[in-house]
Amino acid sequence: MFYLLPIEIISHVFEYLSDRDLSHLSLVNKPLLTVVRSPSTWRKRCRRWDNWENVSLLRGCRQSQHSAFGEDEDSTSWFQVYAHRCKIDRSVHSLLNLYGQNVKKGYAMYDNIFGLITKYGVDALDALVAAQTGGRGLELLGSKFMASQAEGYIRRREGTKIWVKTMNRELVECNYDHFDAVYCSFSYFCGSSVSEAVIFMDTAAQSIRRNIGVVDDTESSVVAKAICEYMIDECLMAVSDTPGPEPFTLLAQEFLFDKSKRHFWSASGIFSGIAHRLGFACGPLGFLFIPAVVMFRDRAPDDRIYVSLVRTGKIYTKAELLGIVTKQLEGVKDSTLEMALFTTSLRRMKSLVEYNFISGNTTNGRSWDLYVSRALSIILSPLQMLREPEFEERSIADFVAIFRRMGCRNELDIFGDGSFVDSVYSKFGQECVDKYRNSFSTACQRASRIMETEEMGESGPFSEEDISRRKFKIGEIVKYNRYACHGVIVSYIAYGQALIDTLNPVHAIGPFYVVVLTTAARVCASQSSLEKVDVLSLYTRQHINTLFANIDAAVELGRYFSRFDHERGVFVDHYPDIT
Amino acid sequence: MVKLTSSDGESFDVEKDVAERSILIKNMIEDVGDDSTEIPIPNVTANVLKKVLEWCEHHKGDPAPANEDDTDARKKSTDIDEWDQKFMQVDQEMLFEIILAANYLDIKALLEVGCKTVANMIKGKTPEEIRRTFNIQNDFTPEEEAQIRRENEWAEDR
Repeated sequence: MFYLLPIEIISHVFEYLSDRDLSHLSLVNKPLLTVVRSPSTWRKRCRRWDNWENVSLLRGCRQSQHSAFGEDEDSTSWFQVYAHRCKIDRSVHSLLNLYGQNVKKGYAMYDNIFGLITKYGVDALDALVAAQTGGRGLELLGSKFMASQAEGYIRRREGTKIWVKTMNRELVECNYDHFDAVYCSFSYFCGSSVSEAVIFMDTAAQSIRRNIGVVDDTESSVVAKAICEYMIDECLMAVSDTPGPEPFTLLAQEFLFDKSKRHFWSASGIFSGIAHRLGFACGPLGFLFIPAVVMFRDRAPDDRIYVSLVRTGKIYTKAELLGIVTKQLEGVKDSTLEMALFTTSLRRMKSLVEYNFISGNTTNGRSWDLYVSRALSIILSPLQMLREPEFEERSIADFVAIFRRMGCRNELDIFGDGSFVDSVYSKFGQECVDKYRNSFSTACQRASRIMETEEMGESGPFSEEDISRRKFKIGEIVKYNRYACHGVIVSYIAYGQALIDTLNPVHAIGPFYVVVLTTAARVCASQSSLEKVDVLSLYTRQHINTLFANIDAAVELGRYFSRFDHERGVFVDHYPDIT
Repeated sequence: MVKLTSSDGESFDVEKDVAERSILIKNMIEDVGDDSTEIPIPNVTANVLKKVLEWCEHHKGDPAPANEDDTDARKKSTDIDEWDQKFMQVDQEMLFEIILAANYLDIKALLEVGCKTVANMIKGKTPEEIRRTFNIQNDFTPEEEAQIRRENEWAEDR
């Protein structure tokens, strides 16, 4: 009989067989199962890997652990090791099929990932097992997060407090130079408090850039998309797990501070953080939540408004996106998705609010301000306290001004009542409450100033006069004379006076524009401070590329435009398209 | 010429370079230092030895195989040349005997052909088809089978 041949001959036969063949062979009968599953079979297969040495190291760890506990060596573990890697392999492949043609990079990423897993030794392998039982999204993301997340879980079991302390120290010591940064912060984040979200966002995005060696936007978008996919997956899972009444009707703080739901919040937080940090590269999927929400509302403001960000130039139609999104969102409640929206970028939100305000849209019978104010009450204060650089007093002031213009005169309408503050107190302590109150009152004061200056001058968001005097269009390259540098008009702004340096009254006359400078700064500029640039006659293609070569500027611009039209000399596919 | 004796006592006169396809025999000849000695092959019966020698005869001019250890890393192809394919068209018992003999006599190329032939009998088949090919009884309970299938799920599209 074939399986009665000596083992060395049988294993020689196995060399010629695919994994699938071996799988079938092991299903034939018990003696064959034993032969196929023998460690030597899989050990041999594992040897084919480039990072074999890491793997054998990992095995060493495992074995010593087993013997330390007086256990026998697990004979199937080579099989497991091999199977794990194959699963990862498959994920990476499907990833590549889905998103990109850059196979070589994909493999580099993949080897890197596996190298990292093996480096984490025993726990990482357990982590893989844990992670794989954890969910469909995990594999997509790749094992980095599997390892880190499950490690977080493992450590959590050991005692959250020690873990948190250690992680803090490690975070400080790791200098962001290493994958540890991601690993630490992610695990920490998963394992402990929401307040670490921001740290994670930063370190994760930076480390992803560094460790996966993302250099250009095609590549980084593959990575970013993978991450976003994962996050979406995770979020949706958490969403669908949410029992009981519509979460939207829950009080914001309950949602935020309820441990069982924190994971969802966190994931969205990470998601938006990464999206934010990776900027345009992440555009399409980074904002998948927004189209998702919009789709599930009856009246989407525009078919393409939310997806024209796509840097590659691909613009999805509403139907296409609906297809992509609905597949993921089946059975997920509209209101739950709104929650997801709320946890994404504030600036996005602002654009939405502005857009809807200007276009007079209300959504789904719910007044937009109520809708957004709830969102704000969820996200604004904690994020503010976490010192997310984007959420400075001024942007809150902008918001408050918008709300007031829409009729919310009392900020308590917007930001909820005292119980929210109580929650902040119980979770973060008096210091944070004070900080929150201070920054909130500063924001309100600023908002009042904005309102005053506006009410003195203009009636609507854009006065007729402003519109008729406008010389520049969105997407145009201009010279900003105050800083003597170039910039791109990204939007019009009606209430610019207060945002303009009032010490310079010459420039305090509208119309106003929001300009992204070549330094990546986003400024509010009056028309008088801007100068027309005849791009096509002055610059070559090369010039323009160099002009906006600053990666931060590119990221910033990527938030507003999908590409530069070299024929016309302007940035095009603007979001949101309010011209 | 070298004289080989099978386990059942039959003798074969073989050219030296044909016999030396077998590393075992080659080493023996070197050790003895005398071509005329009769070499016993105690593990191989006459009908199998005859078959093996037929293969050696056909392949006596082949260049020495590349160092096998180096090729370990990559996946191997199961292509077999036409003559070998025909040669291996024997019943399963004989096929296994040939493989065992090739292993014992240390004829790497023949062992390889044998293993490839077996591999080709397995390749792309379902478990049931494999059972039929080798006439094996299924001794799993449905639960056990389901369990293994679950464990093997990852391998299905590979």
